[in-house]
Amino acid sequence: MRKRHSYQPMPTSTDVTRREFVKLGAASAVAGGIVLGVPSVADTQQPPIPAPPETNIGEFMKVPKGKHALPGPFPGRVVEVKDPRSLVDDKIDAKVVADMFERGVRTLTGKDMKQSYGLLFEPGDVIGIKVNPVGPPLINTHIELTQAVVKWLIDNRVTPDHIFIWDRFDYMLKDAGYTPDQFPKGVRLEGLQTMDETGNTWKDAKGNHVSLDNFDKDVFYFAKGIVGKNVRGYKDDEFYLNQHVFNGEYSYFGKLLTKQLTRIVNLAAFKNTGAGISMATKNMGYGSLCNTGRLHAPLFFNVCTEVLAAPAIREKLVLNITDGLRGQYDGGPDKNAQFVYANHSLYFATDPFALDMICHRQLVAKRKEMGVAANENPRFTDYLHYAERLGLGIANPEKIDYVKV
Amino acid sequence: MRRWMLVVLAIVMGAAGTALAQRPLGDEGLLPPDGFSGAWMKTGPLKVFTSADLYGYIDGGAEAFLEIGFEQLTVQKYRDGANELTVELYRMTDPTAARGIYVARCGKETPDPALRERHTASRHQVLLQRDRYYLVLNNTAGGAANAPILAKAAQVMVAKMPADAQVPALALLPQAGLVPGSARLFRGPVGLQAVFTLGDGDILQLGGKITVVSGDYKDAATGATTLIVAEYATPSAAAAAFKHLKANLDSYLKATSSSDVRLVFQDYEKKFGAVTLTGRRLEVRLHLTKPPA
Repeated sequence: MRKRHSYQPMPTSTDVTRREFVKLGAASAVAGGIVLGVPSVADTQQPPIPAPPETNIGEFMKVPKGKHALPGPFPGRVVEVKDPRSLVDDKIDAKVVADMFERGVRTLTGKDMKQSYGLLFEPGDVIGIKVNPVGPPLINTHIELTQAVVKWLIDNRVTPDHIFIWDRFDYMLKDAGYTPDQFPKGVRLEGLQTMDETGNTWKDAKGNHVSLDNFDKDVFYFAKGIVGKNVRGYKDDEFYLNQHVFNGEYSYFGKLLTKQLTRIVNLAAFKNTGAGISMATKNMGYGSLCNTGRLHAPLFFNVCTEVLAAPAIREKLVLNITDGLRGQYDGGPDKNAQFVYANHSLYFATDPFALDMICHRQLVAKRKEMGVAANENPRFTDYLHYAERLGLGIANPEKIDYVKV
Repeated sequence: MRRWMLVVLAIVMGAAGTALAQRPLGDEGLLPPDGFSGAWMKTGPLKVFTSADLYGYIDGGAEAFLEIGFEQLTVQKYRDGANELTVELYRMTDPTAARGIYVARCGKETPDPALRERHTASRHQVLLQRDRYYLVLNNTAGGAANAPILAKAAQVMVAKMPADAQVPALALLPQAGLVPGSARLFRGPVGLQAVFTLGDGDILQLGGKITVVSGDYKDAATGATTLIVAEYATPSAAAAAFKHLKANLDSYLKATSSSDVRLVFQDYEKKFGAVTLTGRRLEVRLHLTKPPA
C-alpha cells in the first residue's frame, strides 16, 4: 500500500545522527553543513572526516512548499513499462515507445492521459523538457520518447512555443539529433549555455562569456570555499570558465528555469557513473545550473539532492521518466558501447529519488549478472536517503511502491 | 653581435621552427592515413588532449585515466559518405596503465578474428590495448554495414605500434580459482572504488604510483570472494598504508579484530573482510561468508 507523505520540515542537527552524518559525508564529502550541523568528533570513536562544505540548502528548505512541489502527488511510486518491441535490431520503434509512454503515465497516475495532464500541469504553463543528450546514438534520451511527450502536451492544448526542450550545452543537443525538424514547428530547443570546443570564441568583446546573461545571479547553489579554480582536469582557469561560465562559490541557475519555465518534465538516460548512477536526479542536479565542475570532488552525489531542493526545481519538476530503452551498466557516465544493452524499459515517477533508487538497484543487478564488479557500499545511495530526510522523496526500498507493467 | 652570427642564428631558429611545425600532433603518426580502406578521409580537426585538459573531452570519466597514468589523447574523425568513424588513441604512461584502463572498460570480451591484440569488438565499438596504447574506435553513426571498418582501422594502427609488453602486477594474483577476465589494475581510489570501498580518499596510499591488482575467486570452501593485492616499495610503506587503512576504515565497515599485521571487518552485507600485512605486501580478501581463521 502506498503511503502518502506530506511536507516535512528541514532537519535540524538533532534530527541527524552522527552515523547519518558520516554516511552523508562519505558519499562524496557531505552536504548541508548549515542545516545538518556538524557533530562533535570528540564524542565518537570514528576518525575525523573533513568538514563538509557549507551550502545554502537551508535557504532552499525555508521556502514553503507549493502545490506541485517534490515529491509530487505520488511519493515513492515508480512504474516500469517494459516492451521488447521497443528496440529491435538496434532500432527504436517510435509507435511502441509512444504506447509505452501512455501506459506509464496512466499507470503512474491511475487516470487517463488528459486527466493526468490536468493533475500535473496548470493552464498556461511553460513546460521544459530536460533531456540528456550525452552519448548519442546509444545512451542519450531517445528522440522518440521526447516526441511522445511533446505530442501529449500539444494534445492537451499546450502551444508549441510554450514547450522548451533543453540541456545545459547547446552543441550537445545538436550532436544528439535534437534539431527543429524533429518536432512540431514552434517547439524551442535551447542550451543553457554554449561551450566553444576550440576555445576561441566563447568571449564577447568585453571579455565576458557569451552565455553570461543566460544565468540568474539571484538564484544560485552556494558551496562555501569551493571555487572553480585549479580544478583538476581543466587545462587552466580560462578553460574552466569556457565550460562553466562562472568560477566562484556560486552556481547560478539558468534563467530558462527561473524566469520562463513553470513546469519541468525530466527525461533521463539509464546509465552508471562509477559505482553509482547518472539518471534522474543527476540529469537535473548537474544540468540546471553553471559552474558545476567545482562540485564534483567535494559534493558529487549530494548535489543531486540539494540542487533539486531549490525551489526553481522543487516546485516545477512534475514528472520524471528514465529512458531505459537502452541501459549502460558500466563505463559511464560517458558512452561506452561495450556496456550498453537493450533494456526495453521506461520508468515513470513524480518522485525522482524513488525512481533513482529503483534504477540504481536494477543497474547493480545488471552489473552482477554481467560479471562486472559491483561495489554495493550504501554510500552510493546515501544522497537518496538524504532527500527522504528532507521530505523531497522516498528512498527506503521497503516504502517504494514499484509497479511493473 | 656580428652580422654573420645573426644570419646563422636566424637559420638555426628557422630550422627549429620548421621542425616544430612538421612534428606530428599527438600520435598523429599512428592514425590511419587518408584514403585507407577505400574512401575514408579525415574530417574535422585533429584534437590532442593532455592531462591538463582531458576533462574537456571526457567530463566525468577522465579521473580514471589520470589516476592510473595518462599522457595524451589523440582524436580524429573519418568520413566516407554518410558513414563516420571516430578514433580515440590514448597514450598511457606505461603498458600496465593501458592494460588497467582496458580491463576496466572491456567488459566480457567479444573478439574479432581479424585482430590479435587484447581487444573486444562490437558493431558500435572496438576497444584494444597494445603496449602503452589504449585504442577506442567508434562507429559513430552506428550502422551495421559500417562496422567492419573498425577492425580495418585497428589493423592499420596496431601495425605502427610497439610490441605489447608484460604487466608484472598481474603475477601477484594466484591463478588457482581466479575467475577468467576478473583481474583489475589500479593505482588510486577511483580504480579501487569500482571493486570495493575501504575508506575515503587514497585509503591504500597508492599515490598513483603503486599498482594494485584485484581478482575474483570461486572456491568450494570459501565461495565467491575477491582478492586485492598491493606490493609497496618497502615494508615500512606497506605498514604505513595498513596503519592508515585501520585508522580510516570506511564507516560502513566494522572492525571485528585487529593487530599490527591483520584486520578483520564485517561489511554492510554481514560478510567479512580480512586485511593482511606481510613484508611489502598488503592483501585484502573480501566477501567471506565466515570470519577468517
